[in-house]
Amino acid sequence: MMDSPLWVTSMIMLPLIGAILIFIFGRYSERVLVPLVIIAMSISLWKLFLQVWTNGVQSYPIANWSIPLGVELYVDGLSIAMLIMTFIISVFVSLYAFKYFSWFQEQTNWSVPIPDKNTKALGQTKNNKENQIVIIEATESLPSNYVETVTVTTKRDPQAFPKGQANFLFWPLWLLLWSGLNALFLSSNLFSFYVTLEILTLASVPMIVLNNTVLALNAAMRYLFIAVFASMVYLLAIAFLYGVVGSLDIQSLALELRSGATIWMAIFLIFIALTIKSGILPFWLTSTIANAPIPVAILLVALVIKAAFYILLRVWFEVFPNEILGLVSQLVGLIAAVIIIWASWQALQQRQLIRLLAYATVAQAAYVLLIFPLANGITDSWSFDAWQAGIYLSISHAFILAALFMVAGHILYIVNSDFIHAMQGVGRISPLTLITFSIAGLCLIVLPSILVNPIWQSGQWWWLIVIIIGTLLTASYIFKVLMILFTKLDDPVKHEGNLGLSMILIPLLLSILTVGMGVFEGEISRVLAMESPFGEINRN
Amino acid sequence: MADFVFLPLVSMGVFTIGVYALILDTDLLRKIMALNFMASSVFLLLISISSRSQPAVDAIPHGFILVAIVIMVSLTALALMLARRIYQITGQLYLLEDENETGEPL
Repeated sequence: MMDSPLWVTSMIMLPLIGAILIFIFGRYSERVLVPLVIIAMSISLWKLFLQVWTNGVQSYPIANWSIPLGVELYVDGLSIAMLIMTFIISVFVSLYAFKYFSWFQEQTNWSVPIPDKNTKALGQTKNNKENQIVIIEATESLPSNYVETVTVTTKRDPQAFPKGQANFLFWPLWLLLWSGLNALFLSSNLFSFYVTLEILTLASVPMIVLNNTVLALNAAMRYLFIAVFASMVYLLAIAFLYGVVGSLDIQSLALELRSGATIWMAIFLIFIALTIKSGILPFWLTSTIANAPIPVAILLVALVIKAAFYILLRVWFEVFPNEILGLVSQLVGLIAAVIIIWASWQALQQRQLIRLLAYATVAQAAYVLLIFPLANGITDSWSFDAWQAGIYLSISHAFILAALFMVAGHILYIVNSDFIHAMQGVGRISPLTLITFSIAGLCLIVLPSILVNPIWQSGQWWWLIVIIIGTLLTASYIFKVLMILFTKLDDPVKHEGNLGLSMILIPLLLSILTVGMGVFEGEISRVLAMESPFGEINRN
Repeated sequence: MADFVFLPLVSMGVFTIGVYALILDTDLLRKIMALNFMASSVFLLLISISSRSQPAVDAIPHGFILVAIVIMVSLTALALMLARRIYQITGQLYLLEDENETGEPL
């Protein structure tokens, strides 16, 4: 039972109320309400953390309906770790978004490609004030559809948002997303997971459209189709599970599930649905992220796809009967290995920074799948290490990818282009950008080595090969960008106004925080060990 | 009890049609319809599960269906609005290819 249900319910209600109030009071109210929500959230998160820390796992039946009929809010070490991760990223993203959207309002055409140095740039850029159509006349070396593509890319719909609306509309949607995330991490029921996943979809799709280009509309539409498809597959799977067991609560499912044909089908469908949601399967992530505003891209890669992975983690370790998963987990590891290498290779091929980082995200999301073969054999001591390494990896990836995307946003701000070859000399103009990118990039390269310990303990040496190849490829694409940033340029990149120092201090702080996570590894593992699936509550 | 053979079969058939249409049709309205087909088929499966326990009907799947219907309505509304906006701007109801998907130069 829960000491006081106030704090756990306020985790969900506070952002929701904030979202509604911002929507009611309109523009500029976010400047007061978002800091208020963040302060209130920090208090309730701290209180909830203390409750869990002193009294162990907490559960709260909503409206006192007991388990077979009602829904419970449930907090254990893993939930509280995810809630803290969400809170930290929320604070940083909110700070960053205030700065980003004030710039974004005047900015209309940063996605316009600058032709290669070695192609003869015959074209010129015209800015049509009304429609913001940018025309670059084709050079001989470019394909004929070049002009058309560029025109479509940057054509903005003048009716879509009056001036400044995109800035304002981000906030209610973002607070709704935050509320959905917290509700997801506090759920203990497979159907609640479905509902909260749909809240995430409903909140994140309109945020992608804020970029207000035709390609962003397309990306949002494609993301909506893929997300709803995955949700329907997930719903089908939980209908199967309900048909067999007659309950969808995680603990009762864990007790009553036995292997059988229907269960196999359900496991397969849930795995497919959640890997799609977490961005690993069919690579919808890249085009969505490339067309979304930077803060929205950060929310997608750092929070939304981690939420889907969290459900997979819960379901895999706490629901499915473990005697049958040994056969499957090696196959899952194989899929992860293929995706790691393929996506890293794709990242190396990219010419645009955001797309490079998007492929890097796919690869990093696939690394975490490797813990399933490594943790196979749930009663052994090394399986806890693998489980914990997976969560640790997942949380640090969220921080690091957020920092990298923030730096990328700052670089776009400086050079006004998404193309890597246009970023020469950025290190000269803004050394802090270079330092932050280097720290975050090096963290990204080093992080998968967390998995070496579980690999050593489980003796499955073949996964080490995947990690080595993946790390080499990661190093290649990070240094590919760093090399360009370091380059001295004869005629320096033009930049206007101030350099947006806070835009670079925020990711710098975030990367230092990630490095600092290594110092607090003991505390983090103590938090995670509270009522973990490997604790005493474990089913035999 | 005969319902428990017939209804799940129908629902799986409809689900398959939905997946087929969602993946292979290019028209946005057809894709949105296909998503609703998939949702309805899962609802049908849940109804058949709840009707299995005779004589009293299991009420929990009904609750699931009600919640899922509300979610599906709002998602459909969002999808229709996006499709309408795409139609207003580009004059067609298809998804554009993302221009740089393969890493090729533009």
